[in-house]
Amino acid sequence: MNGAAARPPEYGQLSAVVPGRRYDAALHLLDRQLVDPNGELVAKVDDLELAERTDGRLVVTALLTGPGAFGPRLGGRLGRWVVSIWRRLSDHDSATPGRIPFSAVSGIDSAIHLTRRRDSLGVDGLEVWIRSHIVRQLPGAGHAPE
Amino acid sequence: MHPNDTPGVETRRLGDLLGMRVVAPGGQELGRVSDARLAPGPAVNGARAELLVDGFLVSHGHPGSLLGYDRRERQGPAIVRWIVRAIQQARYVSWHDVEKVDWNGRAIRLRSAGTSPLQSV
Repeated sequence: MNGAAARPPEYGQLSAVVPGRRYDAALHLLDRQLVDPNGELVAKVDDLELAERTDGRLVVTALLTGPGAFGPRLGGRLGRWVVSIWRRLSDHDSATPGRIPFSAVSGIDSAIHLTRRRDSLGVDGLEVWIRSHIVRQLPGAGHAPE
Repeated sequence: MHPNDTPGVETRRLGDLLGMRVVAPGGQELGRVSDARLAPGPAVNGARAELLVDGFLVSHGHPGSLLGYDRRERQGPAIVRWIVRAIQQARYVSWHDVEKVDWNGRAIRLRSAGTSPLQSV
């Protein structure tokens, strides 16, 4: 389900940081794949954290992942059910979303590129849980594809 | 509000904004927030400029309506472009026209009743 993507571009060649580039948050950032400097897939963006500055402007401070972010975004009874089920199945407080500070973002294109390696982020995405608790338990999961 | 890792700093989420009512000064509801437009700010945050909420896309449809086909001027093929124009309803509200974000009431209250045509990013 997850694995190393193709060899990432050399540092400085990332095409995403365009001066003056604007983004539509839901269209360009939500549900985008987060990729670390080694090309490893990290998680998907489930929500954005916003902080209110003293002048009232809202600034993006972090990317949020996991059911703690996705459930509230669904809203209503379905959203609460998602968080509740996840909390029962996981081994940590899943009400707290995974949080990647926006300062770790190096570029935004078809994916969101990070400056930090996956294993240093402490983000436990839905796909990671599924891989470790479901996929790896399937018969034959340990065999390399033919 | 959502507590975050920085002590004493209360934060919000994009998900809180999506679907909010957009209300003119007289109480007229102009639509709902379907997206938030982000623009680079003056400060640098890590490897890139900070991103500020610069305005809101307002529509009467469900958030995510048209799947972004209405955001590109050169949208093709022609039949898609024709359909999008026929049902185009998203408008744009600049941050400078926002009087207040009423988080508890889930509404964005404007200084004036006007909205602008939606420009592509």
